[in-house]
Amino acid sequence: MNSYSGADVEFALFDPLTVINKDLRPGVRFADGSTLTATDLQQDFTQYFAQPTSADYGTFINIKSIKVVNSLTAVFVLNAADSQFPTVLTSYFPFNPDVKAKYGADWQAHPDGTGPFELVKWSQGNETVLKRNPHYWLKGPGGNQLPYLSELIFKPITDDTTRVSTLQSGGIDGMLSEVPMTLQSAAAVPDTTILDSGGNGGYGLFFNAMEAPVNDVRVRLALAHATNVAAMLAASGGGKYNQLRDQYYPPGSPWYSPAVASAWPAYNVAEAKTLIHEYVADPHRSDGKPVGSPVTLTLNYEPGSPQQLAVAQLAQQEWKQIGVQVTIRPEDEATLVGNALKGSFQVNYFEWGNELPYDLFHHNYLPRPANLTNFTLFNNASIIQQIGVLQTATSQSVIKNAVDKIGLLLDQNVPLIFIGSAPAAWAVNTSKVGGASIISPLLASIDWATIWAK
Amino acid sequence: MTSLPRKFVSLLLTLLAVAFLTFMLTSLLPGNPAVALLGQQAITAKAIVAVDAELGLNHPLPLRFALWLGHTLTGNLGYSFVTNSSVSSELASRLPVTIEIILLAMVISLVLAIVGGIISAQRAGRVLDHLLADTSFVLLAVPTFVMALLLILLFAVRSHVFPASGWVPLTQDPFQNLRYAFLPSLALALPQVPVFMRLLRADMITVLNEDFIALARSKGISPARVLLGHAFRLSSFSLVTVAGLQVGFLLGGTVIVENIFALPGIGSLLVQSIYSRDLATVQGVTLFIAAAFVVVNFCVDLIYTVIDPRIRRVSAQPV
Repeated sequence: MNSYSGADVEFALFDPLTVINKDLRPGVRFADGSTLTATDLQQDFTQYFAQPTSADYGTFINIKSIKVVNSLTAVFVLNAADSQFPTVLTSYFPFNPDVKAKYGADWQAHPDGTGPFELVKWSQGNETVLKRNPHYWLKGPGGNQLPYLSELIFKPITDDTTRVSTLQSGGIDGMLSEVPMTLQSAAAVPDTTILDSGGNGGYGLFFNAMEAPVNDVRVRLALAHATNVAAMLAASGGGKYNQLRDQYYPPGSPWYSPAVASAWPAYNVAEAKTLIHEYVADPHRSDGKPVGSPVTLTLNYEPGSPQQLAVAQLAQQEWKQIGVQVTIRPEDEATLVGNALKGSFQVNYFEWGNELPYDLFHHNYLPRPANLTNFTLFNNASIIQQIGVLQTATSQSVIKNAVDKIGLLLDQNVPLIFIGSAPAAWAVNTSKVGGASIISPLLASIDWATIWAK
Repeated sequence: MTSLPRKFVSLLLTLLAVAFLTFMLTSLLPGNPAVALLGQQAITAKAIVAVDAELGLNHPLPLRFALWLGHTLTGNLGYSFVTNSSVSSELASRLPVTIEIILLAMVISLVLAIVGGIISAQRAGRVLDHLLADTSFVLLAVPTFVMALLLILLFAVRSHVFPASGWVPLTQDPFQNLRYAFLPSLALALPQVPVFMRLLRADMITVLNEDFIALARSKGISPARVLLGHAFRLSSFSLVTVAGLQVGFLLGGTVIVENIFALPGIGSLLVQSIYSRDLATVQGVTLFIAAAFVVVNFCVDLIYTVIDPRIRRVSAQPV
């Protein structure tokens, strides 16, 4: 049996990992003063996995049932083993199911949780005002009641430039960004510190392994060899907040592998040309074009992002050097994802954000149609076998071994070109805010309970 | 049929066409709303089918249009897929912000244009006239988003006179409300100033050369009264018409300005809804903007017949 602990819950895993015992910490209360019970948890998670229209349906589809053993113990029964399920659960917070009865159809505008703050006002598109939850269960160092702040205001500022300008002009004390260029601008504001969540988010160029010509591994390898990732990183705001990536995990992660890094197809234009010439001269080439015809591709990216445009333009130039003609096409996110689901693309700029190996690899590499989030449409029996290992593994060494094997298989088959990290970082004005720290890479959030105003 | 009922029927037909085009074009947007709603990690075939059914997206397009039109005619614009609140209530909560920005922009642009136009006309061909003309061309050439960023840099980041972004409702604090509304309104107003100013200048130069102006001057009426009481009054007819028509431009401009200044108006609502494929909201907001534009034009037509008796007389004659 293995134990995990979250903010206000503890878990126990039982072999064969399909039954998970979730023990609640005693004395945890919602903002309205009522006590969190196992029945609340059962109601919360039942609406996630039982309603296909829930945004968390995909995450919790593996739950078969939730049984309440006593007021503090709930047992999750899964359809199949999932060793990482408890860790996923730690990133979800309980909500008070009583608000449905209290507020009727408008219940979603009145969330009530067990966190350090409670909602006071939600002015859509303008601000969300929170005040201290007087019933928050956690105490700070020295036994002080948390949170320290009496009020916290969140403002949605969608334009990156305006967000930095508002920080600079003192309109806000901190801001979140996932854009390296924006974080560089924010870091230049006096008294500003950048708190990187240290998460696993990254971005790259995803090939459609079912679509010619990138369904041929020679073309994918050629394109990987022709890509100067370091130059691409520099052009897309690289440097401090945008590390180079050669696998799904960054250096410093327990799952990072030097062996996988060294096996990644390095920048080598001569090798790229050899491979692409081999494909072009192949009478059975997958795109059905006559021998000698140039390889043509379309690369899709999201408009409005200077980073994505820079990557797309540089890929276009670099791949042209080996004789590949690339059209770059802007598509907004909904179109990009919609076409990816239909398998109607050749190369997409995409990001990934999963942290845990089983979560990451089963979403990306279990085959369609059962798994629609396989955005490369790449199927490999050996990878699927290793995902099976990850599904039940609880030993770090077993997980690491499986992740390494998958990494080496990806190096050989190149379903995507890794480029850089996609940071989720907070820029905080340290002359106004004290004690800011990131709560966890999984949540990519500041620990709001422990910050104070200077 | 007299002129007013005929215009009203024409207005209704235009609105119906606008509703049809709005629904069809937004429904043909690429990308599945169910996918946008679920998020990339939650996409399963079962979830997509369930969301499509829940949102009524599994019905044929003509049926969806008929249902939507029926609801719209009763004032029900549907529910947001994202926030689960009614589109009408979202519009109602955000409309005051947009209207205030537009009104303030109109006031700023008219004040600046009238002052500039009168000075230009009075000093036609002189240095000040040339200077104002050059300034006009610069204002006309600078895109609204560049103007907005420039104003933020100058008045928020450098001088801290106005906030860079955000909103305080008028009912909460009128002074702060004006502080937050001023820069967005100015960004929206400045490109309008040259349009109004050059129009007024041209009309006033023509009027100032009329015989009755010379007569007024010869009777010893003060230059200020001649300029404001006689020349400006007569020259303002076309300005009123164009100002009314420019409301449509201002409505379009709020989409950009509200996003840059993070204002909770209908422009920012529209952009966010498009990205999240919140079709009900996109359709509701687009229909509202289009209808507002059509209605404003209709009102301008009516005002024009009121202030210009010649048009009223021609319109009143039987066809």
